[in-house]
Amino acid sequence: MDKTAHSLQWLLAAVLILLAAAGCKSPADQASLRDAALERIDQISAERQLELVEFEIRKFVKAEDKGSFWSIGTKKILLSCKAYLQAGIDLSDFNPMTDVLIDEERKSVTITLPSPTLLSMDMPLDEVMVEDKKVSFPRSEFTMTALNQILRAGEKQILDCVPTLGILDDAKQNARLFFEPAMKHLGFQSVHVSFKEPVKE
Amino acid sequence: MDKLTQNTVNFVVNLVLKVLLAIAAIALLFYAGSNLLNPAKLFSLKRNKPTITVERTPMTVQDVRAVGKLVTANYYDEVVVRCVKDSLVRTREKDKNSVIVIIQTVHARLGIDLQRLDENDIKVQGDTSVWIKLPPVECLHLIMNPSDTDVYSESKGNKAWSLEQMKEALEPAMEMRKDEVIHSPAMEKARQGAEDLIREFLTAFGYRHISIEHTLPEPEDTNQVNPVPESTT
Repeated sequence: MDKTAHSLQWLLAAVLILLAAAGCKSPADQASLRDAALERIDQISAERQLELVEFEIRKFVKAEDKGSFWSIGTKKILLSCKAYLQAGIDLSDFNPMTDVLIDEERKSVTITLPSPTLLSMDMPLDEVMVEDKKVSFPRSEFTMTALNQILRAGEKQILDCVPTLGILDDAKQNARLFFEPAMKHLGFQSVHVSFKEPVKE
Repeated sequence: MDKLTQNTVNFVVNLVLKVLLAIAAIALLFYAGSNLLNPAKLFSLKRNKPTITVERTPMTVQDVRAVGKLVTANYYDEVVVRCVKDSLVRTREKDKNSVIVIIQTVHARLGIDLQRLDENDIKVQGDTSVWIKLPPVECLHLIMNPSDTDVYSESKGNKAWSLEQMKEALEPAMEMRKDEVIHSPAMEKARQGAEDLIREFLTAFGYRHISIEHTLPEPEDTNQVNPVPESTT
């Protein structure tokens, strides 16, 4: 009987340790304002950008929460979302006085534009759908904090894929299609559009 | 008889305790086997890393559109949206234990849509004079990405918040921001920025007499009533 009671004490201690560990919050769980608070943003600022192409992207985001080492069961979620990417020319790096060369005799113009870049991305929440969700007992539902964390990861994955999408090449092509007719309408007979080398970060 | 009863009770108690001990030992072994011996979990535990893993998946380009939008001003705002869920028990009352507080950064891109220009909006007179009628300044994009969203606090009450409820919580705030943006000084800044940029371009192309006219923004639909969020600051 004493031996059994002794074992029970050990078991109780082990359970208490597990419970105490389960109650500890990891730093990642704690809400913080991180990045946004670190940079200064003026409420209204001037901009000089010309959007030339828009890509509509559809993406499925698959996430799994295996939990910590004391968790039983897993939970999975499949989200579908849409993103709209706008690429074009940042005209703040463009000086019309030096980057536009006109030959009045030949009625020709040469425009050297900055290299196209991704200008903005919009991933609206109202186009995010939960396609499937599996939460095994006794795990709790996904919190909004967790869902937002998953969507952020999806957003980052889309941004990481921008160089392979071909959106910047499309923006270049559209820049030519945009400027050539406009210049011809202004009376130029020959229009040549070229691009500066992209600035390497 | 008493001794026999006592022995029986002792035996039963011993048996129950041993069974419980055996179950606890099996459960602990199960934990050790499935979790502690899993290097990935052990590693994540040591580093206190988040336990959610997001798989890298492909994406589909559904549409490619040629656009010509001149963005000349940005408008940023931060809004705190506090939403209380309806009670599950009594529908007329709110469940005070289920509150979500979201800090949302709103980014509006303002400017003009050059695709709305047609041939009649540009008139060239001689080699040095040009008249241009610019399309109205508008809010071209109102952006609220997941990276601009911070769930500051969340208490679920009877039931966890769903994605649909979060959308409902943010929608009125977004409508209010849209309304604020189009009535803000940023619109005038965007109009001035567009005019300055077009003037610089036309000057570079050799025009000396440049006349720029603006189209007034289209009137708002007065029948449309914007929903008001429960509480926004």
